[in-house]
Amino acid sequence: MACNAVMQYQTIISRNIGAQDVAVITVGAINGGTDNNVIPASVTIKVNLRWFNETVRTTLLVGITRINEGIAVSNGLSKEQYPTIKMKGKVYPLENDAQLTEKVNAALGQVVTPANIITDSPASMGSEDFQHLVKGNGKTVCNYIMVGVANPPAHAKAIEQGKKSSFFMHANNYLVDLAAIPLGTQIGATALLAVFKK
Amino acid sequence: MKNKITCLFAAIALSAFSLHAQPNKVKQLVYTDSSWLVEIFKDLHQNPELGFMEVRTSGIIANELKDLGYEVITGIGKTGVVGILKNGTGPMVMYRADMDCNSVKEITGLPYASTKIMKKEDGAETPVMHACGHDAHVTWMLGVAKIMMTLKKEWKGTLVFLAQSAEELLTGAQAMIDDKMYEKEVPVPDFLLGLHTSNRPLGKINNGIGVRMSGSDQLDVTFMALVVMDQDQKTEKIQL
Repeated sequence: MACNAVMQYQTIISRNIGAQDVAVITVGAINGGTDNNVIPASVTIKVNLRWFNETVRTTLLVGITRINEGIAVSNGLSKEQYPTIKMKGKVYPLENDAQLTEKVNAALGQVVTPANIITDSPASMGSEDFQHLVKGNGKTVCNYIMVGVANPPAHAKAIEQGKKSSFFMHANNYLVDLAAIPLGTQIGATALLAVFKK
Repeated sequence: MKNKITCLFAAIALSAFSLHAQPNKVKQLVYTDSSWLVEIFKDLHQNPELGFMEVRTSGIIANELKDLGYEVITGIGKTGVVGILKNGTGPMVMYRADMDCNSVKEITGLPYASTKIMKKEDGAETPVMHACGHDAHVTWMLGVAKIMMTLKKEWKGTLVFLAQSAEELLTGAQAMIDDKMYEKEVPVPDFLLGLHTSNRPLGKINNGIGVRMSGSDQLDVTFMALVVMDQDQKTEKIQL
């Protein structure tokens, strides 16, 4: 049943999410069992969703529930035995304030040159709870800055090999170049001083 | 002599990454502190801690911020730390760094690589490493805190450094709010600033306007074992 669910979840996006909308369903873990000849009492699937609006989010969650229950029905489970869903954490999309970001970028241009500040890349499918520190207070505006830390020769080599970068987020070869330590500090302090300036 | 060598090294490192900026005070201060910061970074990298378990990391942050002269509040949302400096009339600005690591076994082979195993909340053991750069985020914040204290005549307002627990669980920020951080002594900021490591090369910054990251949910789906008894055959069929 759990294996069926993992496969079927992937059809939620292809069948229900508009072609212009973006969403991700990742199954990061399937946990169950201890040995060859012991049937475990339960199996837990650990899921992560990514979305940009509440409509898409609802479609994903309704889809997961429907697939769970469909599998339960087709296996003749009684209602009490239906799969359970435990919601563990939710974050909203992260938004950079225009005025604040422009002010910070003007200052950071003096650190890395304006040409090295990318402002036109599409929103990423990464997620953060940074903005939740001030969410809905009607006062605070945010700026969240992505700072390159990859070793330049290693990055160039990766590109040469047809890869997108020398490492990825949450990967076992994640590597912050030591030269990024002072540079990131300089970027942080420069940005902060700019925010205090009128 | 050692300082001269450090400065020379810093100059070479800078030119190597084509940073054409004019020398300024911030840069001078940063590169004076460079070896101190790199030591902190290596130490944090070698000693990663999972969400809500960042006891050692938050202890280091609290001590450093106290030593620098910030008013420090600890234990917010379990392990969160806040350092405040009231420095005259001006905007209230919060600078945030997250502290937790990931359930990942490091393969970098670095001399300061993590070999640590931790117990997750469910009791399962897992290798852990900083695979999202939070060790750098914390180090940067401490470096920035030192510079802001040194340059406090050059800015006016209230500055809050916030070390956040459990970003990877997506619940650390909320835990700090639920712990009534803003009803205690933490001012609600006008501006919130944060830095995150990216896998772009050194010297590149990605900082666009508008929506930059997606919303996200984490959920666990649990299937119970279904036992079908076949009385005649005395066999069980179980589907998972």
